[in-house]
Amino acid sequence: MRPILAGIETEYGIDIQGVGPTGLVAAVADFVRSCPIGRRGWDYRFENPRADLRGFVADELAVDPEDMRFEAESEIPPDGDVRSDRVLPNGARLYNDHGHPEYATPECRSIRSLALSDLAGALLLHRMAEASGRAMRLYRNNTDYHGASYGTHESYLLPREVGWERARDWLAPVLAVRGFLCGAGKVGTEGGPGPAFQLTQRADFFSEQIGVDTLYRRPLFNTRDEPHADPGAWMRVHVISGDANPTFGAVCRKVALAKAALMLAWMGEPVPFRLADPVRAFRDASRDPSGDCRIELANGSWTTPRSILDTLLGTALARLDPEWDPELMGWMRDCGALLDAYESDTGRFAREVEWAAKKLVFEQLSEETGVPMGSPEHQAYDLAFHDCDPASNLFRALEIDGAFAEQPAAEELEPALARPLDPTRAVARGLAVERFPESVASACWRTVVVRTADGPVVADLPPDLDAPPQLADCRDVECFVRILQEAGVPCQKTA
Amino acid sequence: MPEDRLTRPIPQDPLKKHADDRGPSTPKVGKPGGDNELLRRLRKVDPDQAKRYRQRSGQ
Repeated sequence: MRPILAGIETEYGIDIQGVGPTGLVAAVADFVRSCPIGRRGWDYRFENPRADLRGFVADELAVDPEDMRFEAESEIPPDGDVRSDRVLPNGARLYNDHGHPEYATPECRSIRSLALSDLAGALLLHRMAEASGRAMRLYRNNTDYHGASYGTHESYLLPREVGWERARDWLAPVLAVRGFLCGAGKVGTEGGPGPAFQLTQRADFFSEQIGVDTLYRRPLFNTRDEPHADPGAWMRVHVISGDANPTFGAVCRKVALAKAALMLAWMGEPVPFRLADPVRAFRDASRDPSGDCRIELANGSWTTPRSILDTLLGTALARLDPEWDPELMGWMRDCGALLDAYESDTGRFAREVEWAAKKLVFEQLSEETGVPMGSPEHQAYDLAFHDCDPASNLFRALEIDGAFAEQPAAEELEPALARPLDPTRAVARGLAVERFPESVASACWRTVVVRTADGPVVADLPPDLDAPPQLADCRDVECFVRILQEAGVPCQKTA
Repeated sequence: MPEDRLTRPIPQDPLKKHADDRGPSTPKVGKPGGDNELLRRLRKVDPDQAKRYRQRSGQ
């Protein structure tokens, strides 16, 4: 048993001087095309966002009516290539998703590798913004405070035999409450009256318990069935409810909590909680900084966010084989210590948990300046906590002042931009586009098609591939194909 | 047990400073002339930035 393969896709908020929502699609396409690295294009043949884990294909996906208006008025690039995909040398994908630059990490097994790869995306985009010469700001967040939300999605690859129902049963309660330990915090609420501050960026934008949609009527458990691998063998659990955490520890905790739930599902452990209304629980938990709000259970009893997290951590530490994912067990202990710290060492809690650090700043601002909590001015400061420019970001300021945990410096993120940190199939994808881009006919998560002297060859990269170290010495596509074949990767001639 | 939970006292928010001033602290943010990094950066934030900020819905 190896750690679960995972990835994170982050849609960034982007504010370009003089460009409104209807101009963003074309402007972001230009921005993505300015990326100085990688190969243009993406192979969409294995993608179908309407495919549902429940065994059917939806007729259509729900669309935000407000966005439909923007859609009708939107400018698009002259060549029509709205997405403007790039495959990067680290195996990541960069593209334009509905007017947001989106960076999707390479597949990682290690939680640390995934967090570094994810944060490296912010570094790349910040450098591109600086190089553009345009007045723009990039935000690693999920809200514009005017009703629009954009996502941060996690992907976890499990054997299909685990079953989506079991994954959902373990995951839904955790997704509803994990914000207590990894929420990014948000000033204000959407869609009606609410508290001036809440724990997560995304909770207000979910209305369904389960479903295939992602743009509108978002579900807590997303059933999009795109495994990016043999669908008979693999199932990708696509989590769309998480925050775009700007800090390392929060990203790690977000992933570790989801992985722990899915590993317990994989083992067939009995589910301790079935929530009566997971969507309401998500919203209620997000609006309760005590972690002690009442969460109704399906059996008529009730519990609290902290109890759910405590039970998850206790079960994971007691039941999971520590050799399966030792790093995950470390994060489980860390999460447990943070739960304890909430009451016993609140200084530590606020130095590590994003929402708690923000909340202190906003409370102090209110106290010292008289500006009320939840004001548009506080929302402007809230944005600054998510600014991708490290010289403006407020978490970085707290770090410098000794009030927040140390964050990875640019030098620590550089390696994650240069190549995949883990020896997964992403190594083959990244190496191909870096070493011989002119010979790559197409690439996606699952396959790389290369033009050899004997014609095009498609390499079907299995997700459990351990990238052969000999790939590092490859200088041509023939060598690339030969080494993959020797590693057992199906490589077939294609038209 | 549910009954136990119903009688469990709801704790105060420990992140909020109380009368004895325990709890975490953050660099003072509102004092003119303060020289911490947070204050320096807060001063540079356009207070109307969020009012103007408009995005399209994403996924």
